[in-house]
Amino acid sequence: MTKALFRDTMRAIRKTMSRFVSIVIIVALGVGFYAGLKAVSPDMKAAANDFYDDLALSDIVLTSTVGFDQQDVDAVMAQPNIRQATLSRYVDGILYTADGALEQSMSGTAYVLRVIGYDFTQMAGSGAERLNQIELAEGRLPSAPNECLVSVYENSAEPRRYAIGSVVHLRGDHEDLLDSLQTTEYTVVGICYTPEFISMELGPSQAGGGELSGYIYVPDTAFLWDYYTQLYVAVSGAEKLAAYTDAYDKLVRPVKDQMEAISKDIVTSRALRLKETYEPQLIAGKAELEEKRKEAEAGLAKARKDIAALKKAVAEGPAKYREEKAKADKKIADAERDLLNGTKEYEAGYKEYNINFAKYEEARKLIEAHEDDIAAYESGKIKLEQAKASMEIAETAIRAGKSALRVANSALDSGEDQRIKNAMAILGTYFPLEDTDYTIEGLRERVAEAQADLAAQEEAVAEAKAEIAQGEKQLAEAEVLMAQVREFEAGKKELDAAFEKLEAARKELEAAPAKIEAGKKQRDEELAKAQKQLADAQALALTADDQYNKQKAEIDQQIADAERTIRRGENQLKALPDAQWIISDRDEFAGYTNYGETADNMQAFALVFPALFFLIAALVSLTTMTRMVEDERMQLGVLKAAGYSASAIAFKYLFYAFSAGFLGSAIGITLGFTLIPTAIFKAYSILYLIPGMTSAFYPGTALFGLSAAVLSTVGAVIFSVLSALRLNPAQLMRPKAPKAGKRVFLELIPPLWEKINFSGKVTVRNLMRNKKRFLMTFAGIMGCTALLLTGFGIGNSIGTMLDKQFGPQSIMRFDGQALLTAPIHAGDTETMKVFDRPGQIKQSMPIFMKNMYAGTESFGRDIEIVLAVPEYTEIDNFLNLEDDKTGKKLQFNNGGAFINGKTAELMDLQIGDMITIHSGELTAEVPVAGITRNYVYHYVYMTPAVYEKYFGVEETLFNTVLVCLEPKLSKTTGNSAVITEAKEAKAQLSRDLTDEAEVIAVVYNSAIITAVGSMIDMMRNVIVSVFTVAAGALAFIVLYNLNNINIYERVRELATIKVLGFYDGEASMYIYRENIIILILGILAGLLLGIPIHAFVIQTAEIESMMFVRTLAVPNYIAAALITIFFAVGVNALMHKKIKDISMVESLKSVE
Amino acid sequence: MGLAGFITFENVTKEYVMGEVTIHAVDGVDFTIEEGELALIVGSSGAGKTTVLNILGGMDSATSGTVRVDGKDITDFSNRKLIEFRRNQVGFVFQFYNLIPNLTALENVEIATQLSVNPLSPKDVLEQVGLGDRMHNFPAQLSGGEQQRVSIARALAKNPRLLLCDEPTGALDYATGKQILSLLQQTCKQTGTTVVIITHNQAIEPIADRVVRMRSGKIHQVTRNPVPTDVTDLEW
Repeated sequence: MTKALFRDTMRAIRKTMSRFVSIVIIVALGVGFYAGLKAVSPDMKAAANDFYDDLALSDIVLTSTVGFDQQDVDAVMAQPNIRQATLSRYVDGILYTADGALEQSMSGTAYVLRVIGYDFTQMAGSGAERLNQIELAEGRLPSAPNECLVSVYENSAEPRRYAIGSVVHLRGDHEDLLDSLQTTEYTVVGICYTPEFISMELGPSQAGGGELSGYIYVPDTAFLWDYYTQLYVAVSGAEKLAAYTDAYDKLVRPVKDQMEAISKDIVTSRALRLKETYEPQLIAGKAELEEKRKEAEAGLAKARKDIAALKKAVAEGPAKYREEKAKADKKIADAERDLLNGTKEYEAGYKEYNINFAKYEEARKLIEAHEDDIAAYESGKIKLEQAKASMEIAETAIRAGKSALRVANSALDSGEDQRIKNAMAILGTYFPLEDTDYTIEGLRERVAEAQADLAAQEEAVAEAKAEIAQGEKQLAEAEVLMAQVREFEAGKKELDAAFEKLEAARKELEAAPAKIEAGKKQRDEELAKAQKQLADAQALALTADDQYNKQKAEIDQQIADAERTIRRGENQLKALPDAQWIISDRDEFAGYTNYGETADNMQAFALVFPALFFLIAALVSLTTMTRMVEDERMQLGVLKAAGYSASAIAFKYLFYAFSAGFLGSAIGITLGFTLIPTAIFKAYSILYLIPGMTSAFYPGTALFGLSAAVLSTVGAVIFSVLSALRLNPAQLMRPKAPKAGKRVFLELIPPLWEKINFSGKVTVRNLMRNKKRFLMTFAGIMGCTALLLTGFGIGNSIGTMLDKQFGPQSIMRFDGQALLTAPIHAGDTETMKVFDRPGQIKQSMPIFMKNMYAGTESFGRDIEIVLAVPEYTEIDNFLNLEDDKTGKKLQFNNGGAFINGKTAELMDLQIGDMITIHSGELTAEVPVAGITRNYVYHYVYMTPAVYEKYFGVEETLFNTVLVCLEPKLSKTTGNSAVITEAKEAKAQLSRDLTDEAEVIAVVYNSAIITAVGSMIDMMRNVIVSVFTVAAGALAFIVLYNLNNINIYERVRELATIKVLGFYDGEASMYIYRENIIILILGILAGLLLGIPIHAFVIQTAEIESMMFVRTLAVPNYIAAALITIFFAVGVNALMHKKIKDISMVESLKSVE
Repeated sequence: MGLAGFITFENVTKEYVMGEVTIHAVDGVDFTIEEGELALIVGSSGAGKTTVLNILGGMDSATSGTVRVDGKDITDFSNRKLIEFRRNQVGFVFQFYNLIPNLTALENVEIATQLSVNPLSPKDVLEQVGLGDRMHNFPAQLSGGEQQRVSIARALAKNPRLLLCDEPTGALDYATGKQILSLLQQTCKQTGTTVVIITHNQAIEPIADRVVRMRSGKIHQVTRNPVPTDVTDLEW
C-alpha cells in the first residue's frame, strides 16, 4: 500500500465517520455480547473455584447418624487418596425474636438456624487450616462462647436481620438446646463467607419446616458434646483440579465410592464404642430415674400428709380458738376479782393502822411530858458512871497510899536511912511532897501529912458513895420510864412499816385497772392473730390440692421427659447396628450444582445474542462497503487505469473493513469480557454468596469473536469490491447504469395491483428495488423485536410465576398455613375448632406436608420435593390441580401421586410411571396419577389412602392446616388503606392462632410473595434492561445506518420530488412508507421469531427447582412492538431532518 | 400583463460565501418575461443562468432583489408557499431527466400529477409527447430522448403555468434534441404555457420569443424575437 493509498483510506474513514462508527459499534456489540456471555460461565466458575480453594472446600462430607470422634478421623485418614479430614458439628435451632416471637423464613415456615461450631484458631494463615474455612467479611471473630458470625446473605437480606451487635435468640425444636450448647443467645460480632453455603437454598434440616433458613458460626467450645456430626474430607489431588470440571468429578467419584465401602466398618466400630460407653450410662440413668421417681413419690406423699395436717388444723381451728379465748377471758376476770379483794384488805389495814396510830399518839404525848427526865436520865447515868469511876480511882489511890504509909511507918520504925529514902520515894508517888527531906523527920512529917490526906480522902469517898447510891436509886426510877420510851419507839417503827405496806398496796391497787386493760388488749390481739392464722390456713387448705396437682404434674412431666430421654437413648442404642454415614460429594452441597448450572445457562445467551449481532454486523458492513465502492467507482477506475493492481485497490476497502472490524472487536472484547460477566455475577450475587469475581481474558473466545467479526466485515468488502474490480477502467469510470426498474410480482395480479393507490405502488416498487437493504432493515427490526419480546417474555416468565403459584385463582389458593404443635388424626374436630373463626377464616383443611426426596432409577439422582397429603379429596378451594399441558382441571383421587410438571419433565415421567419418594425410613414407589401445573418448587400430592397404602403407614397424621381467609383479610389489591387493614387483620389472626396451644406458627402466602417477589423483580429488571438496551442499540444502529445509506443513495430522487413540489412531510413519507412497511413486517416477524428464542432462553435459564411460566403474555407482544416502533420513530425523526435538509440543487447535478 | 410582465427579475443578486471569498453568482439581474412566451436564458458555463433558474423555480433564494411571478414576489414566499408555487405553477425539465428508475413512464408522470390541483391525464400527455405505446416501460428501457419526453410529460401533466427547462437537450444527440425543442415550442404555442429554457447553445436562439443573454452573472443583453423560427426549420 502506497502512502497515497493509505492517506486516501484514512481520509475515507474520516469522511464516512458515521458509517465507520456504525460498523465499529455493531461489531463491538456482537463481539462484546459474544465474548462477554461466553466469559460468564468460566468467570463465574473461576470465581467459585478460587473461593473454594481459598477456603478449602471439602470434596466430600460425611454425616454420621452416630456422630464422629477422633478415631473415625484416624480411620478415614488411613485410607489412600485422602488429603485431609476435619471434624465439624452443628445443631439446628429455631430462631426467635428478642421478644419471643417466632421468626419466619423466606418460605414462611419457622426460621431454622444452624449453629455451627468452629475453631477460630484454625483460620487461614494459622498454620492449622481446617477444611471448609470461613472468611471474615466484616467485624471480628468470636472470642467468647456467646458470640457468633452470621452469613453475608443473612446480613444483606432485607430487612437487614442481623447487624453486628444484634443478638440471635434460639430455641430447640422439641429438645432443649441447652443440652447441646452453653447458651442460646449469641451476639453477632462479624459477617462471614463460607464455601459450604454459597446459595440461599441451604438444604434440609431435621428441625422446623424441614428446610434450613440460615446459619451462624459459634466457637466450637460453645458445644457441650463429646462428638462431632460431620467429617469434611479432602481428596488428594482434587485441590489441583478446578471445580465443575469432568477431571474433578472423575477424581472424586471413586473416592466417594471408597468411602461408601469403608463406611460400614468404621461406623460399626464407632457404634460398638458408643455401646460400651453409653449402655452402662443408660442403665445407670434408668436406676437414677427409678430413684428419682421414688423420691418424687415420697415427696408427694409427704406433701399429701402435710396437706392432710393442714386440713385437720383448719377443721379444728375454730374450737381451739374458742378455748383459748375462754382462757384469756378467765385470766382477766381473775385479775379483776383480785383487785376487788385487795381493795377490801387495804381498807381494813387502813382502819387498824389508824387505831395503832392513835395509841402511838398517846404514848408520844406521855413521852413528851417526860422529855426532861429522859434527857436527865442520860446525863445522870453518865454522871453516875463518872462518879463511880472517880470513886474507884480514889479508893485505889487510898489503898496505895495506905500501903505506902505502911512502908513508911515500917521504915520509920526501922529508921534505916535507905528504907526511909525508898519509902520517901514511894510516898512521893502518891502524895505530892514539897522540899522533900529524905530524913526521918521529914518522913515523919510526910507520913503525918499523908495520914491526914488519907483521912480526907476516905471521907470524900464515903460521901461519894452516898451520892452514888442516891443516884442509883433515881436512875432505877428513870429506868422504868425509859422502858416505856423504848416500847414507844418500837411501836412507831411498826406503825411506819404498816403505813409503808399500806402505801404499796394502794399503789398496786391504783395500777391494777391499767394492767387489766393491757391484758384485755393483749388478749384481743392474740385472738385476732389466731383468727388470721386460721383464715390463712383455711385459704391454704383450699389451694393446697391445686398446688399439689400442679407439682405432681410437673414432676410427672419431668419424669416423662427423663423417660423419653432414656427411651431415646435406648432407641439410639437399638439403632446403633443400623448406624450409617450419609456421604455427599459437592454435587449434593447446597447451591454448588445450581451455581454451575446457572453459569452454564448463560452460555445459551452467548449463542442467541451474538449470532444475531454478527449477522447484522455482516449485513451492515456489506451495505456500507457496497455503498462506498459504488461511490468511489470512478476513483476505482482511475486507479485501475493508473496501473494499480486489483489487490492494491481492494486493500483500501479491506483495510477500511478490517480496521472497523478489528477496532469494534477490540472494544467489544474489552468491554464484553469485563462488563457482562461482572453485571451478571452482580445480578446473581443476590442468589449466590461468592465474594468476588475477576474478569479473565479468554484468547480462544477473543480470537473467535475477532475472526468472526473481521471475516464478516472483510468478507462483505471482498464481496462488493471484487465484482467492481472485475470491470475494466472504462466501465468503472462510466456511471453504473441505474438499476433497471422491474415489475414486482404483485403486478402479475392486476386486480390486486390496481387496488393499491399510487403511492402504495411506488412504495412497493421501491421496496423491491433494493432487496438487500430491505432484508437488512427487516432483519434489524425483526431482531430488535425478537430481543425485546424475549426480554419482556423472560420478565413475564419469572415475574408472573409467583402470582400464578400463590395469587388469587392460582394454584395454591389457600392464604396461609398453620403449623400444628402436634400432628392430628383425621376427623379431629376438637383441634380444628381453633380454626373456627367466622369473619377471619373462611375455610380450613388439615394436611400432611413433608420435605422429601424424589427420583427414578433412570434419572439417577434425587430432587427435593414437598409431599402434601390433604385430608379431603375436595381440595379445590385450597389447591387447584390442573393438567400441566392442557390446563384442564384434574380430579384428585386415589389413583396415585400427582406430581408437578417440572418433576415429570426432569425425570421424563408419564402418567402410570413409577416415582420413588423417600425421606429417612419412609420410602415408597408410587405410580403417577396426574401431572400438575406448578411453577415454584416441586410438590407431590396424594390422598391419605394412597400415602398409607404405598408408604405402609397405618394412619396419616396431619401436621399442618391450610386456611383460606375472608376477603377482608386476604386483600392484596386496592387502596393502601385496605391493604394495610388486611395486613393488620392477618397479623392479628396470626397472633390469635399462635396463642393457642395447638398452633406453633402461621405462615401467609403473601409473606412469601413479598419476600421472594422483590428478588424476582430485581432479576427481571436486570434481564429486561439488558435485552432492551441490546435491542435498542441494535435497532438504532441498523436503522440509522441503513436509512442513512438509503437517503444518501436516493438524494437525487428526493431532490427531484422536492422540485416536483413534494412538501417536506410528503418527501419524508416517500421514504417512510417503505420504512413503515418494513417496520410492520419486521415487527411481525420479530414477534414470531421471539417465541422460539424466548422458549429456548427460558428453558436453558430455568433452574431445577422452578418452572418458569413458559408462555408469553399479550402485553409482552404489545410492549415489544411498541418499543420497536419507538426506536424506529426515533431514527426516522432524525432522518426527517436529513431529508428536509437535502438541497434541490442536488437534482441538477449530473449523474456521477 | 402590461409592462410588469409575467416574470420579473429586479436587481436580483445571489452570493455564495466560500470561506473568505464571496462569489457573486448572479449580480444585479433585471429582466422580464411575458406570459406565454418561450424564453431562452443563454450563457456559457458559470454565467449564472442556472442560478437564475433555481431562483425562479423557488429551489434557491436570492440574496437580494425581487423576483415576481404573476405579480407575486416569490422572494418573500415562505418555504411552504414556495413548495405550493412549484407544485401548482411550475413544471421542471432536467438536463438528466431525473426520472425515478423503478417507476414506469406512466408512473413517473403520475407522481407529478397526484400533486397537482388540476392535472392533465398522464396518459393523454404521454400520447401527446409521442410515447403512447411506451408508457409502461421503465426508464432503463427508454432512449435518452424518450426519457426526456417522459420528463417533459411529467412537467406538463401538472398543467403548469410556467415550464422551466435546464439544458433539456444537453445530454441528447442533435436529432433528438431537436425533437425535444420542437415539443417544447409546440407546447408553448398550443397551451400558452410560459416556457423558460436554459441553454449554452446560442444556435437555437431563433426559436425563442425572448432571449436573455448572460455573462459572468450579469445580463448581457435581452432581445425580443417578434417572429420566432419554427424548430423544425432551424438547422444548427
